[in-house]
Amino acid sequence: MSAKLLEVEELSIAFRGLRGATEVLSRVSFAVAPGEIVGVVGESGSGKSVMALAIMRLLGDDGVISAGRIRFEGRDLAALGPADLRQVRGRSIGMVFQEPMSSLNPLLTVGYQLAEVLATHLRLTGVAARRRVVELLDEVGIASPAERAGAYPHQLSGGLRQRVMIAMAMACRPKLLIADEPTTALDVTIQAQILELMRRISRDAGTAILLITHDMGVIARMAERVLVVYAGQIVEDAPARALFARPAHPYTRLLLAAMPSPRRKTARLPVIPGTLPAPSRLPPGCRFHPRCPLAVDPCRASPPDMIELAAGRHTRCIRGRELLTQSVRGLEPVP
Amino acid sequence: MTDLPVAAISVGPADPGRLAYRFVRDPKACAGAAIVVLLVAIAALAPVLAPYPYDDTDLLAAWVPPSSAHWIGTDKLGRDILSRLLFGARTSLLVSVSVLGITLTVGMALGMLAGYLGGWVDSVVSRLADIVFAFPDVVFAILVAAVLGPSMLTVIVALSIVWWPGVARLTRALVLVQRNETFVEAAVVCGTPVARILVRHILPNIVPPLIVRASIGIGFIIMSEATLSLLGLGVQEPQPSWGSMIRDGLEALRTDPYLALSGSAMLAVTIIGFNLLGDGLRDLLDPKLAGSLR
Repeated sequence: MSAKLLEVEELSIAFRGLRGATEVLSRVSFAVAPGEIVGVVGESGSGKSVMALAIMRLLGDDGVISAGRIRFEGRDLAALGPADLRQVRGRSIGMVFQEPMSSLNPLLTVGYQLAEVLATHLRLTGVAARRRVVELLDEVGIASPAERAGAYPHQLSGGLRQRVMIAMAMACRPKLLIADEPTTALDVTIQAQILELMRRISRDAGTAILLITHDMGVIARMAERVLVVYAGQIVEDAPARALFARPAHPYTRLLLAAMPSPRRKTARLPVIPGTLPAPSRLPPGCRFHPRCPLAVDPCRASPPDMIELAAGRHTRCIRGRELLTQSVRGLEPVP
Repeated sequence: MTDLPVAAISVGPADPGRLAYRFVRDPKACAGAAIVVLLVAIAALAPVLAPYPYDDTDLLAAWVPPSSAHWIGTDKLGRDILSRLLFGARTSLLVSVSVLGITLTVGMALGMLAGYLGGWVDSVVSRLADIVFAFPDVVFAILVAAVLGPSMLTVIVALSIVWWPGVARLTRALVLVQRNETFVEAAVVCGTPVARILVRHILPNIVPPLIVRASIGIGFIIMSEATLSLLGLGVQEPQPSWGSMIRDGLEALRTDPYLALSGSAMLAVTIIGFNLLGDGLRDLLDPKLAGSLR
């Protein structure tokens, strides 16, 4: 086993509310190796963004890590003091947000905001910083970078702003880049460009990427390994190729079936019946069983554990092995 | 006119030329600005403009009505009212600028820390502000002035104590909004130090409402100064203050109304001037109102 860059062990996160704490992430474990692109996919509200915020220690006053540990290069992130935390943020871990429209300060030029990161972490100022800013903008594929450095955010398009955000996140050559829905706010042609850019940067700089999205298409393009999150739990953890070839969890299988495809002739897109349960009202047993066409009595009785099907292939389904080895009836897409 | 739709949707930094253009087109704002400029000029040039020294007494010519020698007449000690009004502008501006400087510095610093850091810092600042808010402004200022003894410094200290919580509370509310902006979060994940986030990322975005607050607040501060002086807790003789002049004039209001009336008129015009300016600035700087001006 190679040395891990990021290790999340049995992580649980709860938000304090008026009626006590609500657990939104339950005993999540995964690891990211250096240079690896890991995709995290799940519905809105499944807890995938909370995971990213927890790693960055951005949960706010009401969110608490109720159990488990997040280790980055062997260090416990939850135990870092303010100064060490600032070192990790931006220097070792970069982050790109969903909204490129509001991620930049409207009153400062993009060049200034990039230079600020360089000054904070690399003590780079003056001409050297300016030169590096232009290099970084050039690197993320922005044409005439020297001019664009003097532009204010409102003078740039969404795609350009997201490129600037990526340049900022990558300015200090972090070992890990967390991208939370980086392309959701962009139109499809720009999406492809941004993803390609991230992949190139990851390859060139050896940066691992934790890519959080609800778009299976994005995952398919990018990820080497996929974590499927449902209702605060990882339900499947598998290499991307294997997962797309043969999902070992009914949820993954239904998600894939719900992807639009030019080859499919049916008029209506299949959907998964029901909705994601609220974190405060989880069903007993397997959290997916009310929506699962394969649910059997044991699914309703006790929550399933993660089982290892093969090296690096895990599923939280008692029928996972069946799914992998034989064709199971009941999973035909609902027309 | 063609730039207006752009002005309404633009979210970038305001173009100074366009702002100036819109300001000049607003007659009330211009009137306010004119009054304020005039007042500053009067205060600066008082020794040149005033026909007599402000403390030149002539007991034989007490309470003389307006004449060619004394345009607005004299007070009970025979001092020229016009000269004292002109010098009084100095007192009003000195007090209000000092109070504004102190309250903006203290209020913004505490408000930003409270809003950004939250937790116990917020609790301490907010409770301190609440204590001051619990008393009517002038009553609290009177209390402070009574403890410290009357003087101009007392007025400045008392009004500063009364005024900083308003600034702090406004700043805190503005920071709370900014703190949740994605670009602030983005700066945080870039490891930017707190001080830098506050000064470079948040402060520039909250300045416009504070400018408006300051320009409207200055009118109230001048009035409060006059109130304290009227009550004898403020600026002491022979230094002229519009408030104490009104007080002196009240004794002789029926027989010689010029002192009280002229002092009140100066006070009223000044406050109206600052309020018009403040309103104009608000219309100018509030992005929500920018498109609806015409």
